[in-house]
Amino acid sequence: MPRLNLYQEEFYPSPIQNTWKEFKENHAALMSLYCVIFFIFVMIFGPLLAPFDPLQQHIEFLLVPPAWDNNGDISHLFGTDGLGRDMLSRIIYGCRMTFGISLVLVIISMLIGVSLGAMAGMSKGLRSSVVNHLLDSIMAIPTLLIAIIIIAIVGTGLVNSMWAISLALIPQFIHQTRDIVRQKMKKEYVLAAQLDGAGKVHIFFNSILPNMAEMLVVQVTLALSVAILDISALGFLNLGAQAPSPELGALLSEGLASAYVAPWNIAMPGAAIFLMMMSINLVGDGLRSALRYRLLR
Amino acid sequence: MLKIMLRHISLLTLTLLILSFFSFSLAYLFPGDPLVNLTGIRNSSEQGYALLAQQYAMQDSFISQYWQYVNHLFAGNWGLSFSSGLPLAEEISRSLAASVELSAYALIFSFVIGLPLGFLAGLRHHKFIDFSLLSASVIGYSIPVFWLALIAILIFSIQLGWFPLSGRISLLYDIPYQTGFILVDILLSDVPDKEFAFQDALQHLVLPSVSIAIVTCTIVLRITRRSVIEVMNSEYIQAAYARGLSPRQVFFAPWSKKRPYSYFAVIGDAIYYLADKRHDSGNYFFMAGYW
Repeated sequence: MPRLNLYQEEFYPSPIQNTWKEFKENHAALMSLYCVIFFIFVMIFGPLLAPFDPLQQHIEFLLVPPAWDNNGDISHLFGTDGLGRDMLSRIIYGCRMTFGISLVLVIISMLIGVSLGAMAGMSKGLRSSVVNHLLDSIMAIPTLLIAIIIIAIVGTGLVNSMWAISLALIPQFIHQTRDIVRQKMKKEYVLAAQLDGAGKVHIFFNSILPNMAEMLVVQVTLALSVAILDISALGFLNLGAQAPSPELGALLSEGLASAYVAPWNIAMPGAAIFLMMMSINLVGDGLRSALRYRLLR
Repeated sequence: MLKIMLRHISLLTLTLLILSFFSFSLAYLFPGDPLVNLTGIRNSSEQGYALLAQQYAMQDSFISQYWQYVNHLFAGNWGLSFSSGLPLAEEISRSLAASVELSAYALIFSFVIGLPLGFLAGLRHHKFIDFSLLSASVIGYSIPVFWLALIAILIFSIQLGWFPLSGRISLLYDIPYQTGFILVDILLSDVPDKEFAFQDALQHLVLPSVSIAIVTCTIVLRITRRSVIEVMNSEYIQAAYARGLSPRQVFFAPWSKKRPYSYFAVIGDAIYYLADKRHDSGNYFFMAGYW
């Protein structure tokens, strides 16, 4: 039975609906959201979309330019590299690797960082001050440098670079979470929960976490673009993913060998990284301003 | 004021202490012999090894080893480089000057361009010019700088031939090493064609500094814009508008003691955020070494 709805103005949109309404107004952010969804689609269904195997070498098609060039061939849309591997399939697999790995890394470091940050934010006195000082000194090192130091200790390779980047991303999450938890601990609804006798864990999961979820999403988009940049930079410096594997940074550094005769081999993977980072940054920006202005209109 | 300074100085020393301890423990974490990792001296004779071990107090406890390590650090004895075998302090001072020079020009570029554009965007908040500058800044913010550098080389050095491919100066000029900053070195030296050498060095600097500056410029722009918007929304600005002052008067008139301070605060904010690693601009300067 439909609910009798006499007074339309009685309907109050939820905070998430408000955010979405504000986010929709920003066309660039909306477009880049579709772009991110497209990348996620490519990430999941990449093997079905790619025309060739990324490692298959077509001996008769060496260094073929992209299809829109006069010498191009339509069977290889983005051209081929020096070993005759199809660039389009390599980029599809590369997006899959770079984007998927960054997503996994960001989720792992978010889980660890948020739990540590919550502990740091809710504790007081000496313990919190020790944690803060340690954190400040770690935050003083650029993430890429931390990653390179860790790789120097454990050796090069994709898995090692994944460890390194997730370790390097954690401090940002700790910092952000700690600040928000500090802020929220002073709110009256937390005091009310405390007066009801709720424990720290209960307060965190039931009072603070729902209120910081949106800030976390923004932080995740920031960390995602950092992770993509770091993974591809490490691949580019030959410290991360190694040569035959189709990772976008490794593709770039492989294309460097034939950059003079085949500039598309560095232009295409770089453009893929650029598009990925731009769409994620735009979504993050749009989300942030939507959160800021959603209650003003 | 004094209290804040003291607090920050203690924080700085503590941070440096932790960092130095971390870098000392790296000698144990890296593969290989810790003493070799610390000094960088490979294949030394047995006597030499024993002498070194005594110098670095390898037999003693971890803490006295660390103390010796710090002493060596302060004495300027940083060990040898694994890759070239030269003393590390010299090696670093040589390449550091080149990196610092490049970063400094990139930073100057990005402030000269980014600050006025940031003010413009902030003052025209939510107008056409603000949106176009903001979207341009997102594009600049998202470009991976190592790729941008490659594309710039491909287009401007190889296709168009406007700028040289690599290096800091043409091999024709032999500039004696003095400060490590190439432009300063040229001015201090007494080579015959000073102006031409200077122009040549400038040409070598343009591409790398501009491609780094594009990225940092967008960061400066965004931060400046944000802070300007915050200042313009504050109550004393609203009060000034309410008194009937024109935007130009509000912006330039020094009638309020607070105004110049807040402009400085905006610039300070920008520098602070650039140095702050959360925004990861350090990575871009770090990349400068790979040019």
